[in-house]
Amino acid sequence: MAPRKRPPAPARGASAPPAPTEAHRPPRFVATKVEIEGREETKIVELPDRNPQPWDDAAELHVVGARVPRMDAVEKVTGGARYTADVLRPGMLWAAVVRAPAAAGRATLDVSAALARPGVRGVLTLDDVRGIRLDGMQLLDDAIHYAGQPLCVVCADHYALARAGAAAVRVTVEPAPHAVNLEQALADGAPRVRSRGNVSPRSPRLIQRGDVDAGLHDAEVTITREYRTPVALHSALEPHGAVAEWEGGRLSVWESTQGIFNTRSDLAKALGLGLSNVRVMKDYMGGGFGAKNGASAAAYLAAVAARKLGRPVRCAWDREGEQTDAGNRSATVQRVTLGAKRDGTLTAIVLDATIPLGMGGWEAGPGRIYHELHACPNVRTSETFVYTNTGPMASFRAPGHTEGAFGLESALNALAGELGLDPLELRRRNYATADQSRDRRYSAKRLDECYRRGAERFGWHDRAARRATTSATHVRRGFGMAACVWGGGGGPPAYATVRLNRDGTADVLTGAQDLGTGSRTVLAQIAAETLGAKLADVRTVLGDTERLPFASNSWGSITTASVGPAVRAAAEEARDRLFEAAAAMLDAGVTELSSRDGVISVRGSERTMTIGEACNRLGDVMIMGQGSRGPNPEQTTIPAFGAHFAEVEVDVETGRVRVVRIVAAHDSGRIINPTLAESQLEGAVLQGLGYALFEERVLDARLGLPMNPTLHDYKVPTMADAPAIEGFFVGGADTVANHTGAKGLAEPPIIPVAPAIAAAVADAIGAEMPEIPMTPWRVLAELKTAG
Amino acid sequence: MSPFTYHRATSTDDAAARLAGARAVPMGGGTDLLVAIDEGVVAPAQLVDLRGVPGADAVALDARGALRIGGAARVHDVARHPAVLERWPALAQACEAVGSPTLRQMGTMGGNLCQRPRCWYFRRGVSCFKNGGDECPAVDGENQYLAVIGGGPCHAVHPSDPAVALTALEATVEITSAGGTRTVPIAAFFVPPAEAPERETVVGPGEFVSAIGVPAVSAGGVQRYHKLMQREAWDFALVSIAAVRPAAGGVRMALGGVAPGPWRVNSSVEEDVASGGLDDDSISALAERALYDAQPLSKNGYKIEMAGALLRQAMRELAT
Ligand SMILES: Cc1cc2nc3c(=O)[nH]c(=O)nc-3n(C[C@H](O)[C@H](O)[C@H](O)COP(=O)(O)OP(=O)(O)OC[C@H]3O[C@@H](n4cnc5c(N)ncnc54)[C@H](O)[C@@H]3O)c2cc1C
Repeated sequence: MAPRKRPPAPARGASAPPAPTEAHRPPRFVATKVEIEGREETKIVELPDRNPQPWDDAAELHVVGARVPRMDAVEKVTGGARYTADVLRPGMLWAAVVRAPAAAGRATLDVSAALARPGVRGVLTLDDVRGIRLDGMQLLDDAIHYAGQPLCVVCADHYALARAGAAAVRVTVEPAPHAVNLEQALADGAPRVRSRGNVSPRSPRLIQRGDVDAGLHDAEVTITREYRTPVALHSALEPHGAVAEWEGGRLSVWESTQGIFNTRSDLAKALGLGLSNVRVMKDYMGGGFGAKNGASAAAYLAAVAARKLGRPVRCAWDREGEQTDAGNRSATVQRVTLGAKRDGTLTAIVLDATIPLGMGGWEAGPGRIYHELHACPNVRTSETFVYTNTGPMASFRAPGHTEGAFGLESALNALAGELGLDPLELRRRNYATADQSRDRRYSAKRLDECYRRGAERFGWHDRAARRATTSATHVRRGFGMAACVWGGGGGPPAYATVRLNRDGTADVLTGAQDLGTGSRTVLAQIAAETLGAKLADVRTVLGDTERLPFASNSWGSITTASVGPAVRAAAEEARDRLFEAAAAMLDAGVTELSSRDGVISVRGSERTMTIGEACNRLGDVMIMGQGSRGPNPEQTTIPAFGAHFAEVEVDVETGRVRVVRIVAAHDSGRIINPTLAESQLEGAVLQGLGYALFEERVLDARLGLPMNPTLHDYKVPTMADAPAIEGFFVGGADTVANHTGAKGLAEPPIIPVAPAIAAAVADAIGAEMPEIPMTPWRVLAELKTAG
Repeated sequence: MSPFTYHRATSTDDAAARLAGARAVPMGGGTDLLVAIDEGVVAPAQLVDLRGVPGADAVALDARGALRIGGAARVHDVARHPAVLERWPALAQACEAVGSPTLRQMGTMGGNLCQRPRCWYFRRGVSCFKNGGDECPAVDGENQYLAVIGGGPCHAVHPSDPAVALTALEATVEITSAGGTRTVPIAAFFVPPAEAPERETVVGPGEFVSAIGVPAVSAGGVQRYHKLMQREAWDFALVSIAAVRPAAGGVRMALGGVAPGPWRVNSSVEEDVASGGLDDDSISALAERALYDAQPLSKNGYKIEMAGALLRQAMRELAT
């Protein structure tokens, strides 16, 4: 029986702090630096009232750090989880997209036959969306910029009818020459891909420190290599898509997005609406990997079609749309020169890179990691971004660094070979103890521990003995390694509310999103830890701009480190309120109370009560806490690090590579949930393995058309390709970074995979691998060149 | 995608009668057909599903020890059939190498032999010999997965794994239509592109594969099917090989992935392998002889090396 309610006693000892006079009040809004996807941005932050004590390595934590299963695992595997594609609204129409059948030219559409088809309710063409631009291109433009570009949308009562309608649209193309690759775009007399020309106006982007000419002059050994990486496609299981519905002048949109607030701003701006008249929702999501950072073309099209036709509209890309018109990782050509002393000390790093961007997207570039990963006084990178008649680039899991690492780390491994040095030893001799590119300290750096423990776990030092142990004479075994660095600090703004219900269950409300990474679970763990609640009693509510406080895009590996501290602060405020109420009920002082596993207890006494009892006694009094993310430490870079060790078998007769084992050692500060964190490592290793061995968008250069925009022909790895993956984390909390001690970890582990595998292949066959993916024909070709 | 009707045939006669209709095509598991319709590669008006025909999915031995596989037998059922596993293991291995478990469960043997090539240009509707055009765009294009031998004017390869094993096993294909039934040796089942680039098999309009026969003389002995893919699963063969030395003697080898259809290795090479006593040098020489006619396109030369490796491996295995 719950005891009868009685009002809580007023809090003891709580006296308001003296009100500061105007003159003494410290500034409440300050600027701070936040690194997102390799770019540093200055953000304004409102200094939080509450700054919880950092959870350092000595902190006694019970839920944070526990291997609890993903809280939504059952919904996901039973089909109960609702994704954007599952949203069905009354009277909803389905949209099908007509796409450009050529890479360049001008399209003329005849939609009359489509409109005459059964069930077709309307079409959208250029005139309906004039002024809406994505990546600098007019939506539904009649000027064709790339094959697969949307030209028109047909809406019908069902998807099959919409597709039949789309097939009935007559598209006439007045052809124009195209340039779909670097060779074509940079050739004399190349067709103009963008009106400004084929080279980005910001190119070449030159970044340098020191004096590379002097560095090369001082070098005792110099190597130069050229590396090539392919266009890789995100291939998220859930394609881009949205459902839009209007109620009067108010728009609701369900979209598969990494950023509900970004999507809201994009839509509001394009449609001339106030932000409060646009509601964006997203519950479950089947992956984004960086390609879903704002309103997608599908969302604009759904919103405009719904307004025009007066019914909710669902617009989602099909798989071909997803593989041609949903972003990609840019290809790169990287010409690398390294200079070093005989002992391995780097004296110069020079990169000259050319990057075909497609029609646009941002200029991630492979260059940055060259400045960050290894100590070297003289570094110069030059990056030239080239427009091509292909779909625009979109950030893709550690954009820039993943491509750059293939060049930099491969070159380092080649240098180690040239010097007769162990590649790991070469890296140790060039260990950067501070952020040289920005000339400031690191919050923490435990890459050395990754090197040491990774090598130990892998058996790096007795690899020579294992080399000969292969199944057949034509199968060679090889070993390789590579390292990574990536901004992992996160930062403001991010807000959270924690609400206790009458039964003691808690809702964590924050406008972040879970892309499938496990944020929902991790944030609940942080709240449960802070409240002393049972994890099962905590629910994280994400993904609704109307009902939840702001949190930024889930990108750049920032969610845990950005939103986690806000959730902790909110939960702490709620817990303090709860304790004030419970203190009276337990006849104890607030400071004597502690809570764990849903039970509040009084220090040095047997008196306890559950959080549920306390809340129930409070009736409909709602215990609530608000929290926000504070600024980042000044003059500090907050990176995550890692080192990978790969073992492969190569059949030298067929050129087939089999990755046997990857050991991935990472430093990402405190790990809130090792199981979920390791699954990020495993996922990244598989995605990186696909990048290294199989994945490559293929276009026919003459026709300008994509050849393999299906999930069968664009070859992502299968389970049978998965090596033994041993992923683990070193070190502990990074309390300089933020008060949870956690840093980002989802992107870094893709960075070293391809160069580590390439090094292992090179080790096995005695020939360097200058290009990925390392298909059988490329391996055979390198074997031949090597003789 | 054009509209079509669907009929589940109740008997062989029913199927044959239905298939005599205009633009009627047989359907097995639909794993290829439905996708091809969806992609607009083919546009039939009527689908005649053969899976309901009594006995069409049977896999059985006859009195003389030959194997009869119904045209609608599932690939999985052939892969796991005890008699196939024991007596024609090359066929079991080839069936087991098809696609993925779901595809093997859905896909039928008739459909597998009659599936359309995966050439990107054909599948993406680029004008080519297979879809009414008069040039092969792959010759100057992305031809890394296409034929290195026996190709031209179309260079697409036939994607079936079982067909390669059936070729080495000298199977026969029974073809039925309203006009009756004929049986062709598998070597005559696939049509070279020089003869008719728009199609791959002799199965004409109104006809369907009602059964596949595997002779008793092909049973037992040493039998292997090896498939090289880019990844470990769910991939078509870059190159594959079926190699058998049946209990009754003789050596037969067929390559997949290298030619427009399964490529039976030259009989003089087979005879030399059968006569035995080969050292590494003679094995290499024989492998080269087997591929003497190969003429790679711009991007598929690696297939010759792969085929050479598979031939050498198979010859060593057959020698033991
Ligand atoms: C992603 C993917 C991967 C694959 N990987 C492989 C692989 O690795 N190896 C491999 O061998 N195959 C592979 N396949 C092919 C697959 O095995 C075939 O799709 C399947 O066997 C075809 O059988 P089905 O019964 O589904 O044929 P359907 O799709 O029903 O028919 C295919 C074609 O054959 C015709 N047809 C069907 N039955 C008959 C019949 N009895 N007589 C005459 N014509 C008939 C149809 O009209 C159609 O043209 C793959 C297919 C896919 C989609």
